[in-house]
Amino acid sequence: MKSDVFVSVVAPVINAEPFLEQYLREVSALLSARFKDYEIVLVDNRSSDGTVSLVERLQRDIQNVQLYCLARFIGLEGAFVVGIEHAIGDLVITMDPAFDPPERIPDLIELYGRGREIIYGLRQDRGGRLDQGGFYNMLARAFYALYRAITREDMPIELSSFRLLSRRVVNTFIQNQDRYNLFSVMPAFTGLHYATLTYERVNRKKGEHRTEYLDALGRAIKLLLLSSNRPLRMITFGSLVGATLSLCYAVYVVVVHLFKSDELASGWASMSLQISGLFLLHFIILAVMGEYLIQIFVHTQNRLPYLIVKESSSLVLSRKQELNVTLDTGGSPRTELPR
Amino acid sequence: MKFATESIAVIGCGFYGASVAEHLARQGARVTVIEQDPEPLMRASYNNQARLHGGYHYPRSFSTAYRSRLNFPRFMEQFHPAIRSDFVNLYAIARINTKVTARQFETFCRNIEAPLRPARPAFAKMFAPHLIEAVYETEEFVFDAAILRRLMADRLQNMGVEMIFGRRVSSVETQNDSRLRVVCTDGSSLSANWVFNCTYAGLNTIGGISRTRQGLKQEVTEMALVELPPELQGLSVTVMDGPFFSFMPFPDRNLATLSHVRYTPHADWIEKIHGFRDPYATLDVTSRETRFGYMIRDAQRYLPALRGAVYRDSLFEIKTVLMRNESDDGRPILFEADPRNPHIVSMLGSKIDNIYDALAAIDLIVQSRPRA
Repeated sequence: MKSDVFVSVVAPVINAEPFLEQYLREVSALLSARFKDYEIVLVDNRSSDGTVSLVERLQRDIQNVQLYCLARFIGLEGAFVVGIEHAIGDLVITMDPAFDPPERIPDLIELYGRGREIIYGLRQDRGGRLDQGGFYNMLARAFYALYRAITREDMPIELSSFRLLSRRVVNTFIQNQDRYNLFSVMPAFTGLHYATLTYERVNRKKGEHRTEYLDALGRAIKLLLLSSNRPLRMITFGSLVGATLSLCYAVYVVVVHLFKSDELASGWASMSLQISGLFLLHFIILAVMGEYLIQIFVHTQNRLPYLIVKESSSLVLSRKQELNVTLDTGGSPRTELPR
Repeated sequence: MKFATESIAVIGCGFYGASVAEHLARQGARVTVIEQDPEPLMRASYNNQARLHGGYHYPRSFSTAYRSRLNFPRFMEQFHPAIRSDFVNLYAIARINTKVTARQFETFCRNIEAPLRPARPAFAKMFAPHLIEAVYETEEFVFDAAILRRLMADRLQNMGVEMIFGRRVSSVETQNDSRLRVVCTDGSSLSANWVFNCTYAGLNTIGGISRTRQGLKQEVTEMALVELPPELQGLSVTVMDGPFFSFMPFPDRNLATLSHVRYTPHADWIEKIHGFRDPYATLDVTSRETRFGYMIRDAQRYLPALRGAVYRDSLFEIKTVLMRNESDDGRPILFEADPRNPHIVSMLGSKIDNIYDALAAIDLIVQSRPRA
């Protein structure tokens, strides 16, 4: 018995030509067996290979595939949000077609059926050759640990892009102005009770995975600062402490000068330490404020976060089931068509 | 008039075929109309949203929009009993992915002199503000296709047009005396001086009539029929977006038609690329699973009140489009004389109020070819 729930699967693609057809057929077979209405939303992140023309070709064969082509590359997380914004399902499943296993989709939906509105897939990386590299993973874990400490958000470290979100969660999330940067730390914002599903990543890419450390660092900083005001407050608190200490030190200097002026030369070291400490504090403050100012600037500019240049839908000429020959339909004879 | 001695066969009694037949009969010709269905105006003339275009729909094509406005009052006057105007017509402009902004839409309506005013707050606030930029009240009506059918049948009768129903034309042959013989699938035939092929989807299905030079694209389309929730009764809404949707009253069934540019087409084929196939037979064997679930889910993001709409039925039909209209809003009519015999004319129009352009074209072609 097929379910009435409308499922949307959101999958960003970039240069996915080698594995996309197999992925689409797998997901489509899975969904069509269980659901009356569903859609697969693909967001093309400026693929330079034949991904787009492959999808357009498959849209004549596979039902309910929706493709959006972006004008500019906006990164994996941004592409997820674009897909979520355009999905129309009662529930939305996000997955990376290069790494996430379609066969676990039924498990996500089963958890949803038990009343969970958000389900996060937790990856169990086998690490090493097949994945992004042990060093990167280690850094990622360290970052998320730092993130948790600073923002005090309860978030599992093994978070991945394989998730299920209910319509209510989606509607709330897309109201957020910073949503294009916040997809990876979404649990920090909804506050809703979530469930988790542990799964193993596959690797369809079958090639080396280039790790962009600088890019990741940029995203890490943006995440940290967009997520909460606590870093700024910490800095403010720190500078206040520094200011107080400097004041105390100034008092100390005056006292010493009044009572121990013959030992002044020995004060040189501590004074240098104090000056450099203050400078350090000032630079940190400037950096943080600069980052916040950039965000304010971007917001007031009202720049379009993305532009969709092309959209296409599946159009499959599908035939009715053949009626049993012994039934008398009383209708006009059907013409046999060459396919 | 030159037509007194002409005998004319019109194939297809949709709105176009019937109008052409009446127009020619009015000029003195002896007209016979042949239709495969038991009644006139049963196919594309009935299975559509029945919007009487006020020009708003085509902001990217000034000429199409302006012609719509010119034809609007003429159609109103001629088919008054069939027109329904007792509802509020709203146009909502989307914020993103739209090919026209609110300001562009206002300028455009001013240029084509179409009445436009910002929607009253009670209506405007029904739309999701983060998706809709502006809402306007416009002046557009619908026609009741069943009443139109009766009107046309009466007029044809009054003009003395012979109407043959339940026969499908299979071919048109040129005889030795240059007259044309129209042959039906049941073997019957009739002869005439002129043949007008107004069969819409079946334009290229008649033997002896050359397939049109301009390619045709055939679409299997679905128009959902829904019962609107109380707060949307008496309203008609068109959302202008990349892929837009609209619902309008459908008087004959006391329901509303819901059409969505993305989900209304179920399948399509381009005759010149995918090969020629009989459109009626293809429609018959196509599975008719409604895409209402998709339409309503997308639409209710823009207008949450649509959540209360109840699905009742669907109208499935073949929609025939000329190939060159994909990238703009242009909707010209096709009017082609057969290169092998100029007395065979194939016509196709995609908007009902384009009929006046079609009739004008007939006058031109007929007056320029006198017959002894």
